[in-house]
Amino acid sequence: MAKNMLADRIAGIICMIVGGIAISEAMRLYPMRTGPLIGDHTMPGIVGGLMVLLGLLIFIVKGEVFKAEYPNRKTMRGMLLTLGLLFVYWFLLGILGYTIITLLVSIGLFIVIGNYSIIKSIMYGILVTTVLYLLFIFWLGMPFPTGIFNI
Amino acid sequence: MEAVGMLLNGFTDALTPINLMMAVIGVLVGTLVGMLPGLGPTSAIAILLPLTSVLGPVEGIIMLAGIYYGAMYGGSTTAILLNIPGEVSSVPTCLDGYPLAKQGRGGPALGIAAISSFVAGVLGVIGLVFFAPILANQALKFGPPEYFALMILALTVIVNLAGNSIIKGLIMGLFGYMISMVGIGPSGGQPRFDFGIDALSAGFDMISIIIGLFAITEVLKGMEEKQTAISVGKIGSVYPSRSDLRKSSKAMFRGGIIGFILGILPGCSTAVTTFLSYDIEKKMSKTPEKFGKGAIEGVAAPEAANNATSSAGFIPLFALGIPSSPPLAILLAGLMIYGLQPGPVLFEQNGSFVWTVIASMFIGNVMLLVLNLPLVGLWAKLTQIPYGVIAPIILILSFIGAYTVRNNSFDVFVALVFGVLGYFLHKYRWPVVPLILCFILGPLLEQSFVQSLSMSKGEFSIFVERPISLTILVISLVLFVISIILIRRTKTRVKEVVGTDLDISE
Repeated sequence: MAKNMLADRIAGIICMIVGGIAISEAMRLYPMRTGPLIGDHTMPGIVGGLMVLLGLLIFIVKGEVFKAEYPNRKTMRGMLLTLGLLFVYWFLLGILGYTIITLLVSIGLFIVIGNYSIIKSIMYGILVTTVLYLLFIFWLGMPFPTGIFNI
Repeated sequence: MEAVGMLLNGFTDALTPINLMMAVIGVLVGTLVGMLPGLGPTSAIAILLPLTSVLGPVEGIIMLAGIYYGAMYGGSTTAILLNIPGEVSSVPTCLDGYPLAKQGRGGPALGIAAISSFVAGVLGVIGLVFFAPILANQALKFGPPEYFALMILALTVIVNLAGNSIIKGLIMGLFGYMISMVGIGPSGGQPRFDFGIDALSAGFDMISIIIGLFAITEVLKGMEEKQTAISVGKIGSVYPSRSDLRKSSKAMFRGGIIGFILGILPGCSTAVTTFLSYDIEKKMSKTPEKFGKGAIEGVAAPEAANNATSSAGFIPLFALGIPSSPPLAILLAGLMIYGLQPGPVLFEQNGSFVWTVIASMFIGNVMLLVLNLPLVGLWAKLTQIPYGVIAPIILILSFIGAYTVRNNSFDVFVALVFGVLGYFLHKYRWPVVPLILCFILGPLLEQSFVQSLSMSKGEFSIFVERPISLTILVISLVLFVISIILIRRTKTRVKEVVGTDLDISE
């Protein structure tokens, strides 16, 4: 018998684990029920059971076989840097405030994704931040964190 | 006739200067984003959805309808000019549109695409005006068991959205449903799946998940594919000749009818109808050998089918709350942001609002024709904006969009995590739309299920004892089988045309 894809087998295991978590949640909620099948436990139990069953199926049933191709190291580095910048954006949003961190991250993104020079990236970053500031804060008056500099 | 009167009232509301401006902005922005290489209508709507949330409900939904139509048309433009189909449904348009563009007739091809979209879109919306209220009226007789059966019917759409593996589609649907359960349980008010973490007790926000899975993932995919600007050659006049119009008129009509009839069925996407209409047109043509080499009818038929299916898809969406395609699933999320629950009571509870939206769909179609035909040259130039400029702007907008829905940085974190997850799901061909669909419909399914069992004191027979509920369940089964047959046929055709298996859920 031909082997199933490794990725599908791993996904099958993850699916069974997630299903198990749902079933354990259903068991935790079961004492608070209003009827055997009426309560907050019912759907977690059903979904959990189906996840375990389908996880088992994807683990053993041979599906389509293909090779997932990843980009070269340089592109991968760019993608990781982009994600890193976005996580920094999220982490520092409350500390530096929306305007400052948007400017810094947008400059970084133009450098990483667009491969532009620092000068050009700074210009693009200032332009994007200004337009977004005018749109969201000046015009629409949306509340964004102002951070420790109160900007 | 009551529907026509309500529609006229809708026009009165939709034709205010501010609403017209929203429709114009929606169509322009939707076309622009839909045209960006690699971004299909689904991603375009997902990226722009948070921007509409800062507006009032009427303005927001009108802009969203404009974005929807604009994005659909934008996808056709890249298919014709660049041979880049934003979604599988645009593949048949590429078959003859791109050869026409190479012959210097990209303009007439775009013109015919716009006219076909307009004709079919208007036909579809007229159908919506008459069919949706009838369906919704019937659906007013529904109780919890009927609603549950309806949700089961909606879930048959998963077959259509599952792409190449139904098992993967079902797992993704269950996963989507499971994350929708995070938060307070609807029956006993118990916290579920929060694991003692405060941020989880309020549950996940739908928009941040959509932004992660579509916008952020799309940028990562774009970086990998090294999206570059492609120069477009001369496109010629966008106004088709009389001969082009004569050749295309029957194709438009047939494509529109096929698209509309199949589009009403929950579970029939634009990918299915565009391929089907293209094949039928080729079979009916006196010169089938010209298809694939630049036959204008080969552009008209799938474009008409595409837009007719998109418009007809609003009937099950508005009347029953069932989205039949990925862009409609995102649009459903958009409607829910404004507290609207598409389904049988939508026309009853939000009648004037719904008719304003339907009127704005007519306006959106007219705008599309009026604005896009003269602007085709400009749109063609915009395809040359470097990806290195577009991608950072999309990411910053996504970030702001995720934050602004609840002013909560946890939602931004969720968007980022789902962005990374979406990239890997794409790599291993796990369809993400079933996740969104079940995230939206799951809570409704649970509510109707628990209420039904409360009514029957735990007896499952309630679902088959009531005639309407039983009928819907039988229809679900029939549609399930039809969907599988149509999907198999579409998969075979995609493989014949493209030469490889494509994820037809995209």
